[in-house]
Amino acid sequence: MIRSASLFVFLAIARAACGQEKPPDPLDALRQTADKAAADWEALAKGLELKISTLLPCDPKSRAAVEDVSHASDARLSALSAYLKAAAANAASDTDAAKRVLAAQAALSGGWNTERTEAEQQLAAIEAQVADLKESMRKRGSLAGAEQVLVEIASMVKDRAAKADQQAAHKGDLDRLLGDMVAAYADRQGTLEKESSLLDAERAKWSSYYTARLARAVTECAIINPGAAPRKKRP
Amino acid sequence: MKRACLFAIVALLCLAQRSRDDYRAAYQEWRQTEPNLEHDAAAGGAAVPQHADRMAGEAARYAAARETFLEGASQDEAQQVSWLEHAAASPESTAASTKSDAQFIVSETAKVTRTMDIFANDPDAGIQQLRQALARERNLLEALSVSIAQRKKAADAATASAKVMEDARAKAVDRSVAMLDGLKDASADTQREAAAWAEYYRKVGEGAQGTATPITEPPPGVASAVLNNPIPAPPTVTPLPLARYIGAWTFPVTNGLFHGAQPEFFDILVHEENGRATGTAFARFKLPPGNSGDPILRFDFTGEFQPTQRQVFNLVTTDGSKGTIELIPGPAFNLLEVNFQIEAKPGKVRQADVVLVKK
Repeated sequence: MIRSASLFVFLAIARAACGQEKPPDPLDALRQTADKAAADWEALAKGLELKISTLLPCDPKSRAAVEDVSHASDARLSALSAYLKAAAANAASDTDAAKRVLAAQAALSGGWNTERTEAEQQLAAIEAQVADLKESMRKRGSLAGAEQVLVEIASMVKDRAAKADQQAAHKGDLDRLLGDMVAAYADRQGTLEKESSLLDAERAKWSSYYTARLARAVTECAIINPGAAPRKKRP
Repeated sequence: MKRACLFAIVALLCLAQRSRDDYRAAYQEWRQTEPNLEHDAAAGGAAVPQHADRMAGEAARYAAARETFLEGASQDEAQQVSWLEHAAASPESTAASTKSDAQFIVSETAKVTRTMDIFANDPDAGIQQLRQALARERNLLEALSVSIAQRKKAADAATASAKVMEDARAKAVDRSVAMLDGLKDASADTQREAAAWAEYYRKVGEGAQGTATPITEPPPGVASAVLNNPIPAPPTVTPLPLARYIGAWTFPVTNGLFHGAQPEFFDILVHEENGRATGTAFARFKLPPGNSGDPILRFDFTGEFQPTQRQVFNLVTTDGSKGTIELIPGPAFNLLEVNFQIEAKPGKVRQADVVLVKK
Protein backbone atom coordinates (compact mmCIF):
# COMPACT_ATOMS: atom_id res chain seq x y z
CA MET A 1 0.00 0.00 0.00
CA ILE A 2 2.78 2.34 1.03
CA ARG A 3 4.67 1.28 -2.05
CA SER A 4 1.64 2.09 -4.24
CA ALA A 5 1.25 5.47 -2.61
CA SER A 6 4.93 6.24 -3.14
CA LEU A 7 4.64 5.24 -6.76
CA PHE A 8 1.57 7.45 -7.13
CA VAL A 9 3.39 10.43 -5.62
CA PHE A 10 6.39 9.77 -7.85
CA LEU A 11 4.19 9.59 -10.93
CA ALA A 12 2.36 12.78 -9.90
CA ILE A 13 5.67 14.63 -9.51
CA ALA A 14 6.98 13.22 -12.76
CA ARG A 15 3.77 14.25 -14.49
CA ALA A 16 3.98 17.74 -13.03
CA ALA A 17 7.63 18.03 -14.01
CA CYS A 18 7.44 16.51 -17.45
CA GLY A 19 3.71 16.98 -18.06
CA GLN A 20 2.14 16.22 -21.38
CA GLU A 21 0.82 19.78 -21.63
CA LYS A 22 3.71 22.00 -22.49
CA PRO A 23 3.91 24.95 -20.06
CA PRO A 24 4.67 28.35 -21.61
CA ASP A 25 8.37 28.83 -22.32
CA PRO A 26 9.71 31.78 -20.25
CA LEU A 27 11.85 32.75 -23.23
CA ASP A 28 8.70 33.13 -25.35
CA ALA A 29 7.26 35.60 -22.83
CA LEU A 30 10.52 37.58 -22.77
CA ARG A 31 10.60 37.57 -26.56
CA GLN A 32 7.05 38.91 -26.78
CA THR A 33 7.78 41.63 -24.22
CA ALA A 34 10.94 42.65 -26.10
CA ASP A 35 9.10 42.69 -29.43
CA LYS A 36 6.28 44.84 -28.06
CA ALA A 37 8.65 47.27 -26.32
CA ALA A 38 10.67 47.62 -29.53
CA ALA A 39 7.51 48.35 -31.52
CA ASP A 40 6.40 50.94 -28.93
CA TRP A 41 9.76 52.77 -29.05
CA GLU A 42 9.84 52.71 -32.86
CA ALA A 43 6.37 54.27 -33.07
CA LEU A 44 7.23 57.03 -30.57
CA ALA A 45 10.66 57.70 -32.10
CA LYS A 46 9.27 58.03 -35.62
CA GLY A 47 6.51 60.42 -34.46
CA LEU A 48 8.73 62.58 -32.27
CA GLU A 49 9.78 65.21 -34.84
CA LEU A 50 6.23 65.65 -36.14
CA LYS A 51 4.90 66.02 -32.61
CA ILE A 52 7.51 68.58 -31.57
CA SER A 53 7.13 70.60 -34.79
CA THR A 54 3.60 71.60 -33.70
CA LEU A 55 4.77 72.80 -30.25
CA LEU A 56 6.61 75.91 -29.13
CA PRO A 57 10.20 75.19 -27.98
CA CYS A 58 9.34 76.03 -24.37
CA ASP A 59 6.12 74.08 -24.31
CA PRO A 60 6.48 71.49 -21.48
CA LYS A 61 4.91 68.95 -23.86
CA SER A 62 7.99 69.27 -26.03
CA ARG A 63 10.34 68.08 -23.27
CA ALA A 64 7.82 65.45 -22.18
CA ALA A 65 7.67 64.05 -25.73
CA VAL A 66 11.48 63.61 -25.80
CA GLU A 67 11.41 62.04 -22.33
CA ASP A 68 8.66 59.63 -23.41
CA VAL A 69 10.78 58.39 -26.31
CA SER A 70 13.79 58.15 -24.00
CA HIS A 71 11.84 56.05 -21.50
CA ALA A 72 10.49 53.86 -24.27
CA SER A 73 14.06 53.37 -25.50
CA ASP A 74 15.19 52.37 -21.99
CA ALA A 75 12.26 49.97 -21.69
CA ARG A 76 12.90 48.27 -25.01
CA LEU A 77 16.65 47.95 -24.41
CA SER A 78 15.97 46.59 -20.96
CA ALA A 79 13.48 44.03 -22.33
CA LEU A 80 15.85 43.05 -25.12
CA SER A 81 18.70 42.67 -22.64
CA ALA A 82 16.55 40.37 -20.44
CA TYR A 83 15.62 38.31 -23.49
CA LEU A 84 19.22 37.99 -24.70
CA LYS A 85 20.49 37.03 -21.24
CA ALA A 86 17.81 34.33 -20.98
CA ALA A 87 18.54 33.14 -24.52
CA ALA A 88 22.26 32.93 -23.70
CA ALA A 89 21.49 31.00 -20.49
CA ASN A 90 19.27 28.60 -22.46
CA ALA A 91 22.01 28.21 -25.05
CA ALA A 92 24.47 27.34 -22.26
CA SER A 93 22.10 24.63 -20.96
CA ASP A 94 21.62 23.33 -24.51
CA THR A 95 25.37 23.19 -25.01
CA ASP A 96 25.81 21.14 -21.83
CA ALA A 97 22.94 18.82 -22.84
CA ALA A 98 24.39 18.41 -26.35
CA LYS A 99 27.75 17.44 -24.82
CA ARG A 100 26.02 14.82 -22.69
CA VAL A 101 24.15 13.49 -25.74
CA LEU A 102 27.48 13.27 -27.57
CA ALA A 103 28.99 11.27 -24.69
CA ALA A 104 25.96 8.97 -24.28
CA GLN A 105 25.62 8.46 -28.02
CA ALA A 106 29.31 7.64 -28.36
CA ALA A 107 28.87 4.91 -25.74
CA LEU A 108 25.75 3.54 -27.46
CA SER A 109 27.16 3.60 -30.97
CA GLY A 110 30.42 2.09 -29.69
CA GLY A 111 28.32 -0.92 -28.67
CA TRP A 112 28.00 -1.96 -32.33
CA ASN A 113 31.67 -2.97 -32.40
CA THR A 114 30.96 -5.20 -29.41
CA GLU A 115 27.87 -6.57 -31.18
CA ARG A 116 29.94 -7.46 -34.24
CA THR A 117 32.71 -9.08 -32.22
CA GLU A 118 30.25 -11.13 -30.19
CA ALA A 119 28.36 -12.24 -33.31
CA GLU A 120 31.64 -13.30 -34.93
CA GLN A 121 32.62 -15.29 -31.84
CA GLN A 122 29.20 -16.93 -31.76
CA LEU A 123 29.49 -17.75 -35.45
CA ALA A 124 32.84 -19.47 -34.87
CA ALA A 125 31.25 -21.54 -32.10
CA ILE A 126 28.33 -22.50 -34.34
CA GLU A 127 30.65 -23.49 -37.16
CA ALA A 128 32.42 -25.85 -34.75
CA GLN A 129 29.01 -27.27 -33.82
CA VAL A 130 28.18 -27.76 -37.51
CA ALA A 131 31.45 -29.64 -38.02
CA ASP A 132 30.71 -31.90 -35.02
CA LEU A 133 27.19 -32.52 -36.20
CA LYS A 134 28.32 -33.36 -39.74
CA GLU A 135 30.67 -35.90 -38.26
CA SER A 136 27.80 -37.36 -36.23
CA MET A 137 25.65 -37.45 -39.36
CA ARG A 138 28.09 -39.94 -40.87
CA LYS A 139 26.81 -42.37 -38.28
CA ARG A 140 23.30 -41.04 -37.91
CA GLY A 141 21.65 -39.58 -41.00
CA SER A 142 18.54 -38.59 -39.03
CA LEU A 143 20.49 -35.60 -37.70
CA ALA A 144 20.31 -34.00 -41.16
CA GLY A 145 17.28 -31.91 -40.18
CA ALA A 146 19.10 -30.51 -37.16
CA GLU A 147 22.16 -29.78 -39.27
CA GLN A 148 20.02 -27.85 -41.74
CA VAL A 149 18.58 -25.67 -38.93
CA LEU A 150 22.05 -25.11 -37.47
CA VAL A 151 23.33 -23.94 -40.84
CA GLU A 152 20.37 -21.53 -41.01
CA ILE A 153 21.24 -20.22 -37.54
CA ALA A 154 24.84 -19.70 -38.67
CA SER A 155 23.51 -17.68 -41.58
CA MET A 156 21.35 -15.56 -39.23
CA VAL A 157 24.30 -14.87 -36.94
CA LYS A 158 26.45 -14.00 -39.94
CA ASP A 159 23.79 -11.49 -41.05
CA ARG A 160 23.71 -10.08 -37.54
CA ALA A 161 27.46 -9.58 -37.61
CA ALA A 162 27.19 -7.84 -40.99
CA LYS A 163 24.44 -5.52 -39.74
CA ALA A 164 26.46 -4.67 -36.62
CA ASP A 165 29.46 -3.98 -38.83
CA GLN A 166 27.37 -1.63 -40.97
CA GLN A 167 26.12 0.24 -37.89
CA ALA A 168 29.64 0.38 -36.45
CA ALA A 169 30.81 1.95 -39.72
CA HIS A 170 28.26 4.77 -39.20
CA LYS A 171 29.54 5.45 -35.70
CA GLY A 172 32.22 7.80 -37.06
CA ASP A 173 29.61 9.77 -39.02
CA LEU A 174 27.37 10.15 -36.00
CA ASP A 175 30.23 11.15 -33.72
CA ARG A 176 31.30 13.78 -36.25
CA LEU A 177 27.74 15.10 -36.68
CA LEU A 178 27.21 15.32 -32.95
CA GLY A 179 30.64 16.93 -32.55
CA ASP A 180 29.65 19.56 -35.15
CA MET A 181 26.37 20.03 -33.37
CA VAL A 182 28.05 20.57 -30.00
CA ALA A 183 30.47 23.06 -31.60
CA ALA A 184 27.53 24.91 -33.18
CA TYR A 185 25.66 24.98 -29.85
CA ALA A 186 28.76 26.38 -28.17
CA ASP A 187 29.19 28.96 -30.98
CA ARG A 188 25.61 30.06 -30.62
CA GLN A 189 25.99 30.37 -26.88
CA GLY A 190 29.14 32.46 -27.37
CA THR A 191 27.57 34.75 -29.95
CA LEU A 192 24.44 35.28 -27.84
CA GLU A 193 26.58 36.16 -24.82
CA LYS A 194 28.58 38.57 -26.96
CA GLU A 195 25.40 40.11 -28.37
CA SER A 196 24.07 40.55 -24.83
CA SER A 197 27.28 42.17 -23.65
CA LEU A 198 27.37 44.51 -26.67
CA LEU A 199 23.78 45.50 -26.03
CA ASP A 200 24.61 46.42 -22.43
CA ALA A 201 27.36 48.74 -23.70
CA GLU A 202 25.00 50.15 -26.31
CA ARG A 203 22.36 50.94 -23.70
CA ALA A 204 24.65 53.50 -22.06
CA LYS A 205 25.17 55.19 -25.44
CA TRP A 206 21.44 55.38 -26.10
CA SER A 207 21.00 56.94 -22.69
CA SER A 208 23.68 59.54 -23.47
CA TYR A 209 22.08 60.24 -26.81
CA TYR A 210 18.64 60.91 -25.31
CA THR A 211 20.24 63.09 -22.62
CA ALA A 212 21.85 65.11 -25.42
CA ARG A 213 18.56 65.21 -27.31
CA LEU A 214 16.85 66.60 -24.22
CA ALA A 215 19.68 69.11 -23.74
CA ARG A 216 19.06 70.32 -27.28
CA ALA A 217 15.39 70.92 -26.45
CA VAL A 218 16.46 72.95 -23.38
CA THR A 219 18.88 74.95 -25.52
CA GLU A 220 16.20 75.66 -28.14
CA CYS A 221 13.91 77.00 -25.43
CA ALA A 222 16.69 79.06 -23.89
CA ILE A 223 17.38 80.77 -27.25
CA ILE A 224 13.73 81.70 -27.74
CA ASN A 225 13.01 82.59 -24.15
CA PRO A 226 16.15 83.13 -22.08
CA GLY A 227 15.60 82.21 -18.43
CA ALA A 228 12.58 80.04 -19.11
CA ALA A 229 13.80 76.55 -19.79
CA PRO A 230 11.03 74.11 -20.69
CA ARG A 231 9.82 72.51 -17.50
CA LYS A 232 8.85 69.02 -17.10
CA LYS A 233 5.25 68.50 -17.99
CA ARG A 234 3.15 67.80 -14.96
CA PRO A 235 1.09 64.71 -15.33
CA MET B 1 10.45 22.70 -18.96
CA LYS B 2 10.20 19.78 -21.36
CA ARG B 3 13.77 20.39 -22.49
CA ALA B 4 14.85 20.51 -18.87
CA CYS B 5 13.25 17.07 -18.33
CA LEU B 6 15.00 15.68 -21.36
CA PHE B 7 18.23 17.22 -20.12
CA ALA B 8 17.76 15.44 -16.79
CA ILE B 9 17.02 12.14 -18.53
CA VAL B 10 20.13 12.50 -20.69
CA ALA B 11 22.16 13.22 -17.54
CA LEU B 12 20.75 10.10 -15.88
CA LEU B 13 21.53 7.98 -18.92
CA CYS B 14 25.15 9.04 -18.73
CA LEU B 15 25.27 7.72 -15.20
CA ALA B 16 23.53 4.43 -15.99
CA GLN B 17 25.25 2.68 -18.87
CA ARG B 18 23.60 -0.60 -19.84
CA SER B 19 25.50 -3.68 -18.86
CA ARG B 20 25.95 -6.71 -21.09
CA ASP B 21 27.00 -8.85 -18.14
CA ASP B 22 23.65 -10.63 -17.70
CA TYR B 23 23.31 -11.99 -21.22
CA ARG B 24 27.03 -12.74 -21.45
CA ALA B 25 26.78 -14.83 -18.28
CA ALA B 26 23.70 -16.58 -19.69
CA TYR B 27 25.59 -17.27 -22.92
CA GLN B 28 28.55 -18.79 -21.08
CA GLU B 29 26.24 -20.96 -19.02
CA TRP B 30 24.41 -22.13 -22.13
CA ARG B 31 27.62 -22.97 -23.94
CA GLN B 32 29.08 -24.84 -21.00
CA THR B 33 25.96 -26.88 -20.25
CA GLU B 34 26.38 -29.67 -22.84
CA PRO B 35 29.41 -28.80 -24.93
CA ASN B 36 29.54 -32.27 -26.54
CA LEU B 37 25.89 -32.56 -27.51
CA GLU B 38 26.54 -32.65 -31.27
CA HIS B 39 29.21 -35.31 -30.81
CA ASP B 40 27.11 -37.36 -28.40
CA ALA B 41 24.11 -37.23 -30.73
CA ALA B 42 25.80 -39.75 -33.03
CA ALA B 43 25.56 -42.43 -30.36
CA GLY B 44 21.90 -41.62 -29.71
CA GLY B 45 20.11 -42.80 -26.61
CA ALA B 46 17.56 -41.37 -24.22
CA ALA B 47 20.01 -38.92 -22.65
CA VAL B 48 20.51 -36.91 -25.85
CA PRO B 49 16.94 -35.53 -26.05
CA GLN B 50 17.15 -34.64 -22.34
CA HIS B 51 20.44 -32.83 -22.87
CA ALA B 52 19.01 -31.10 -25.92
CA ASP B 53 16.03 -29.93 -23.82
CA ARG B 54 18.40 -28.51 -21.21
CA MET B 55 20.33 -26.70 -23.90
CA ALA B 56 17.09 -25.33 -25.35
CA GLY B 57 16.22 -23.93 -21.90
CA GLU B 58 19.63 -22.29 -21.54
CA ALA B 59 19.42 -20.87 -25.06
CA ALA B 60 16.02 -19.39 -24.23
CA ARG B 61 17.41 -17.83 -21.03
CA TYR B 62 20.26 -16.27 -22.97
CA ALA B 63 17.84 -14.92 -25.60
CA ALA B 64 15.62 -13.41 -22.89
CA ALA B 65 18.60 -11.72 -21.19
CA ARG B 66 19.86 -10.39 -24.50
CA GLU B 67 16.44 -9.06 -25.42
CA THR B 68 16.25 -7.26 -22.08
CA PHE B 69 19.60 -5.65 -22.81
CA LEU B 70 18.60 -4.66 -26.35
CA GLU B 71 15.27 -3.26 -25.23
CA GLY B 72 17.07 -1.15 -22.61
CA ALA B 73 19.57 0.06 -25.19
CA SER B 74 16.67 0.89 -27.55
CA GLN B 75 15.01 2.93 -24.81
CA ASP B 76 18.26 4.81 -24.19
CA GLU B 77 18.67 5.49 -27.88
CA ALA B 78 15.02 6.59 -28.12
CA GLN B 79 15.70 9.18 -25.38
CA GLN B 80 18.69 10.50 -27.35
CA VAL B 81 16.55 10.74 -30.46
CA SER B 82 13.81 12.48 -28.50
CA TRP B 83 16.23 15.10 -27.15
CA LEU B 84 17.65 15.67 -30.60
CA GLU B 85 14.18 16.00 -32.09
CA HIS B 86 13.09 18.55 -29.49
CA ALA B 87 16.29 20.58 -29.27
CA ALA B 88 15.42 22.96 -32.12
CA ALA B 89 16.72 26.50 -31.57
CA SER B 90 14.11 29.06 -30.48
CA PRO B 91 13.27 31.70 -33.07
CA GLU B 92 15.14 34.98 -32.66
CA SER B 93 13.33 38.02 -31.32
CA THR B 94 12.53 40.69 -33.91
CA ALA B 95 13.68 43.16 -31.26
CA ALA B 96 17.18 41.73 -31.62
CA SER B 97 17.21 42.92 -35.21
CA THR B 98 19.26 46.11 -35.56
CA LYS B 99 17.45 47.24 -38.70
CA SER B 100 15.15 49.81 -37.01
CA ASP B 101 18.01 51.15 -34.89
CA ALA B 102 20.25 51.58 -37.91
CA GLN B 103 17.48 53.31 -39.88
CA PHE B 104 16.79 55.61 -36.92
CA ILE B 105 20.45 56.55 -36.61
CA VAL B 106 20.76 57.32 -40.32
CA SER B 107 17.60 59.41 -40.32
CA GLU B 108 18.45 61.36 -37.13
CA THR B 109 22.04 61.94 -38.21
CA ALA B 110 20.78 63.39 -41.50
CA LYS B 111 18.32 65.69 -39.73
CA VAL B 112 20.91 66.89 -37.21
CA THR B 113 23.45 67.49 -39.96
CA ARG B 114 20.91 69.44 -42.02
CA THR B 115 20.06 71.67 -39.07
CA MET B 116 23.73 72.20 -38.29
CA ASP B 117 24.35 73.19 -41.90
CA ILE B 118 21.53 75.75 -41.78
CA PHE B 119 23.15 77.45 -38.79
CA ALA B 120 26.70 76.96 -39.98
CA ASN B 121 27.55 80.66 -40.49
CA ASP B 122 25.23 82.22 -37.92
CA PRO B 123 27.34 84.27 -35.46
CA ASP B 124 24.56 84.47 -32.88
CA ALA B 125 25.81 83.12 -29.53
CA GLY B 126 22.56 81.28 -28.80
CA ILE B 127 22.60 79.66 -32.24
CA GLN B 128 26.22 78.65 -31.76
CA GLN B 129 25.21 77.05 -28.47
CA LEU B 130 22.47 75.17 -30.31
CA ARG B 131 24.96 74.11 -32.97
CA GLN B 132 27.25 72.73 -30.29
CA ALA B 133 24.34 70.75 -28.81
CA LEU B 134 23.61 69.37 -32.27
CA ALA B 135 27.28 68.48 -32.76
CA ARG B 136 27.30 66.53 -29.47
CA GLU B 137 24.14 64.79 -30.54
CA ARG B 138 25.66 63.85 -33.90
CA ASN B 139 28.80 62.52 -32.22
CA LEU B 140 26.69 60.32 -29.99
CA LEU B 141 24.67 59.12 -33.00
CA GLU B 142 27.90 58.19 -34.76
CA ALA B 143 29.11 56.28 -31.69
CA LEU B 144 25.76 54.48 -31.57
CA SER B 145 26.08 53.64 -35.24
CA VAL B 146 29.39 51.84 -34.54
CA SER B 147 27.90 49.96 -31.57
CA ILE B 148 24.83 48.92 -33.53
CA ALA B 149 27.03 47.63 -36.36
CA GLN B 150 29.02 45.54 -33.87
CA ARG B 151 25.85 44.15 -32.32
CA LYS B 152 24.49 43.36 -35.80
CA LYS B 153 27.64 41.35 -36.50
CA ALA B 154 27.15 39.36 -33.29
CA ALA B 155 23.43 38.85 -34.06
CA ASP B 156 24.27 37.65 -37.59
CA ALA B 157 26.83 35.23 -36.16
CA ALA B 158 24.21 33.91 -33.70
CA THR B 159 21.78 33.37 -36.58
CA ALA B 160 24.47 31.64 -38.67
CA SER B 161 25.52 29.33 -35.82
CA ALA B 162 21.83 28.50 -35.19
CA LYS B 163 21.58 27.42 -38.83
CA VAL B 164 24.72 25.24 -38.60
CA MET B 165 23.38 23.82 -35.35
CA GLU B 166 20.02 22.97 -36.94
CA ASP B 167 21.66 21.31 -39.96
CA ALA B 168 23.90 19.15 -37.75
CA ARG B 169 21.01 18.37 -35.42
CA ALA B 170 18.72 17.27 -38.27
CA LYS B 171 21.44 14.98 -39.68
CA ALA B 172 22.21 13.61 -36.22
CA VAL B 173 18.50 12.84 -35.75
CA ASP B 174 18.47 10.84 -39.01
CA ARG B 175 21.58 8.89 -38.05
CA SER B 176 20.34 8.27 -34.51
CA VAL B 177 16.98 7.03 -35.80
CA ALA B 178 18.87 4.58 -38.06
CA MET B 179 20.79 3.39 -35.01
CA LEU B 180 17.54 3.01 -33.07
CA ASP B 181 16.11 0.96 -35.94
CA GLY B 182 19.28 -1.15 -35.84
CA LEU B 183 18.74 -1.91 -32.16
CA LYS B 184 15.11 -2.85 -32.81
CA ASP B 185 16.29 -5.09 -35.67
CA ALA B 186 18.82 -6.74 -33.38
CA SER B 187 16.05 -7.42 -30.89
CA ALA B 188 13.88 -9.01 -33.61
CA ASP B 189 16.90 -11.03 -34.81
CA THR B 190 17.40 -12.34 -31.28
CA GLN B 191 13.78 -13.54 -31.23
CA ARG B 192 14.20 -15.28 -34.60
CA GLU B 193 17.46 -16.89 -33.51
CA ALA B 194 15.84 -18.04 -30.25
CA ALA B 195 13.05 -19.74 -32.21
CA ALA B 196 15.61 -21.38 -34.51
CA TRP B 197 17.67 -22.66 -31.55
CA ALA B 198 14.54 -24.19 -30.02
CA GLU B 199 13.84 -25.90 -33.34
CA TYR B 200 17.46 -27.06 -33.61
CA TYR B 201 17.51 -28.70 -30.18
CA ARG B 202 14.16 -30.34 -30.86
CA LYS B 203 15.57 -31.82 -34.08
CA VAL B 204 18.77 -32.97 -32.36
CA GLY B 205 16.62 -34.77 -29.80
CA GLU B 206 14.45 -36.34 -32.49
CA GLY B 207 17.41 -37.20 -34.71
CA ALA B 208 19.21 -38.98 -31.90
CA GLN B 209 16.34 -41.36 -31.33
CA GLY B 210 16.01 -44.75 -33.02
CA THR B 211 18.59 -46.84 -34.81
CA ALA B 212 21.56 -45.08 -36.32
CA THR B 213 21.44 -44.91 -40.12
CA PRO B 214 24.60 -43.52 -41.69
CA ILE B 215 24.58 -41.14 -44.59
CA THR B 216 26.91 -42.87 -46.99
CA GLU B 217 27.88 -39.76 -48.86
CA PRO B 218 30.61 -37.81 -47.11
CA PRO B 219 29.62 -34.19 -46.51
CA PRO B 220 31.19 -31.49 -48.74
CA GLY B 221 34.69 -30.55 -47.64
CA VAL B 222 35.29 -33.81 -45.79
CA ALA B 223 37.95 -35.87 -47.53
CA SER B 224 37.21 -39.51 -48.20
CA ALA B 225 39.17 -42.02 -46.20
CA VAL B 226 42.10 -43.64 -48.06
CA LEU B 227 43.00 -47.18 -47.07
CA ASN B 228 46.60 -48.34 -47.02
CA ASN B 229 45.66 -51.69 -48.48
CA PRO B 230 42.55 -50.96 -50.52
CA ILE B 231 40.24 -53.77 -51.46
CA PRO B 232 38.09 -53.21 -54.50
CA ALA B 233 34.54 -52.33 -53.62
CA PRO B 234 32.10 -55.22 -54.02
CA PRO B 235 30.40 -55.06 -57.36
CA THR B 236 26.92 -53.62 -57.31
CA VAL B 237 24.04 -54.70 -59.46
CA THR B 238 23.51 -51.22 -60.90
CA PRO B 239 25.66 -50.04 -63.82
CA LEU B 240 26.21 -46.73 -62.02
CA PRO B 241 27.44 -46.40 -58.43
CA LEU B 242 24.71 -46.76 -55.85
CA ALA B 243 25.55 -43.29 -54.61
CA ARG B 244 23.81 -41.97 -57.73
CA TYR B 245 20.51 -43.27 -56.29
CA ILE B 246 20.74 -43.42 -52.53
CA GLY B 247 20.89 -40.59 -49.99
CA ALA B 248 18.84 -37.49 -49.28
CA TRP B 249 17.66 -35.49 -52.29
CA THR B 250 15.72 -32.25 -52.47
CA PHE B 251 14.07 -29.94 -54.97
CA PRO B 252 16.22 -26.79 -55.27
CA VAL B 253 14.70 -23.56 -53.97
CA THR B 254 15.53 -21.71 -57.18
CA ASN B 255 15.58 -22.74 -60.84
CA GLY B 256 14.26 -26.23 -60.15
CA LEU B 257 13.38 -28.33 -63.21
CA PHE B 258 10.03 -30.14 -63.36
CA HIS B 259 7.27 -31.39 -65.61
CA GLY B 260 3.65 -31.54 -64.50
CA ALA B 261 2.78 -30.22 -61.05
CA GLN B 262 5.30 -27.71 -59.68
CA PRO B 263 6.71 -28.67 -56.28
CA GLU B 264 6.99 -26.14 -53.47
CA PHE B 265 9.30 -28.66 -51.89
CA PHE B 266 10.13 -32.26 -52.63
CA ASP B 267 12.37 -34.35 -50.34
CA ILE B 268 13.22 -37.94 -50.92
CA LEU B 269 15.39 -40.33 -48.93
CA VAL B 270 16.69 -43.54 -50.53
CA HIS B 271 18.39 -46.38 -48.63
CA GLU B 272 20.00 -49.55 -49.88
CA GLU B 273 20.46 -52.80 -47.98
CA ASN B 274 21.57 -56.05 -49.58
CA GLY B 275 20.69 -54.80 -53.03
CA ARG B 276 17.23 -53.71 -51.98
CA ALA B 277 16.04 -50.10 -52.08
CA THR B 278 13.72 -48.51 -49.54
CA GLY B 279 12.75 -44.90 -49.56
CA THR B 280 10.33 -42.21 -48.51
CA ALA B 281 9.15 -39.11 -50.30
CA PHE B 282 7.50 -36.01 -48.92
CA ALA B 283 6.36 -33.17 -51.15
CA ARG B 284 4.03 -30.22 -51.46
CA PHE B 285 2.87 -28.96 -54.86
CA LYS B 286 1.55 -25.65 -56.11
CA LEU B 287 -2.00 -26.19 -57.25
CA PRO B 288 -3.64 -24.13 -60.01
CA PRO B 289 -5.82 -21.24 -58.73
CA GLY B 290 -9.24 -22.47 -57.70
CA ASN B 291 -8.08 -26.04 -57.27
CA SER B 292 -9.07 -27.21 -53.78
CA GLY B 293 -7.17 -30.50 -54.01
CA ASP B 294 -4.61 -31.82 -51.54
CA PRO B 295 -1.16 -30.34 -52.31
CA ILE B 296 0.64 -32.69 -49.90
CA LEU B 297 2.04 -36.02 -51.05
CA ARG B 298 3.79 -38.68 -48.95
CA PHE B 299 4.72 -42.13 -50.08
CA ASP B 300 7.09 -45.00 -49.34
CA PHE B 301 8.69 -47.12 -51.99
CA THR B 302 10.70 -50.32 -52.11
CA GLY B 303 12.15 -52.81 -54.57
CA GLU B 304 15.27 -54.56 -55.80
CA PHE B 305 17.95 -52.57 -57.61
CA GLN B 306 18.17 -53.76 -61.24
CA PRO B 307 21.15 -53.85 -63.61
CA THR B 308 19.75 -50.86 -65.47
CA GLN B 309 20.46 -47.18 -65.31
CA ARG B 310 16.84 -46.32 -64.56
CA GLN B 311 15.48 -47.88 -61.41
CA VAL B 312 11.74 -48.45 -61.05
CA PHE B 313 10.13 -49.25 -57.69
CA ASN B 314 6.61 -49.71 -56.41
CA LEU B 315 5.23 -47.02 -54.17
CA VAL B 316 2.36 -46.74 -51.72
CA THR B 317 1.05 -43.36 -50.57
CA THR B 318 -0.05 -42.62 -46.99
CA ASP B 319 -3.69 -42.93 -48.10
CA GLY B 320 -3.03 -46.35 -49.64
CA SER B 321 -2.81 -45.42 -53.32
CA LYS B 322 -0.36 -47.42 -55.38
CA GLY B 323 1.98 -46.44 -58.15
CA THR B 324 5.54 -46.51 -59.39
CA ILE B 325 8.56 -44.29 -58.99
CA GLU B 326 11.44 -44.11 -61.43
CA LEU B 327 14.89 -42.89 -60.34
CA ILE B 328 17.03 -41.62 -63.20
CA PRO B 329 20.59 -40.47 -62.45
CA GLY B 330 21.08 -36.95 -63.80
CA PRO B 331 23.84 -35.58 -66.02
CA ALA B 332 25.79 -34.51 -62.92
CA PHE B 333 26.76 -36.66 -59.97
CA ASN B 334 24.49 -34.75 -57.58
CA LEU B 335 21.35 -34.72 -59.75
CA LEU B 336 18.56 -37.30 -59.72
CA GLU B 337 15.45 -37.19 -61.86
CA VAL B 338 12.38 -38.61 -60.14
CA ASN B 339 9.36 -39.58 -62.16
CA PHE B 340 6.33 -41.00 -60.39
CA GLN B 341 2.84 -42.08 -61.34
CA ILE B 342 0.07 -42.91 -58.90
CA GLU B 343 -3.38 -44.30 -59.52
CA ALA B 344 -5.87 -41.51 -60.01
CA LYS B 345 -7.87 -40.32 -57.02
CA PRO B 346 -9.97 -37.13 -56.86
CA GLY B 347 -8.10 -34.15 -55.45
CA LYS B 348 -4.76 -35.96 -55.29
CA VAL B 349 -1.52 -35.33 -57.16
CA ARG B 350 -1.01 -38.33 -59.43
CA GLN B 351 2.11 -37.67 -61.41
CA ALA B 352 5.15 -35.44 -61.66
CA ASP B 353 8.66 -35.42 -62.99
CA VAL B 354 11.23 -33.41 -61.03
CA VAL B 355 14.99 -33.06 -60.94
CA LEU B 356 16.40 -33.17 -57.39
CA VAL B 357 19.80 -32.27 -56.01
CA LYS B 358 21.67 -34.24 -53.41
CA LYS B 359 21.59 -32.72 -49.94
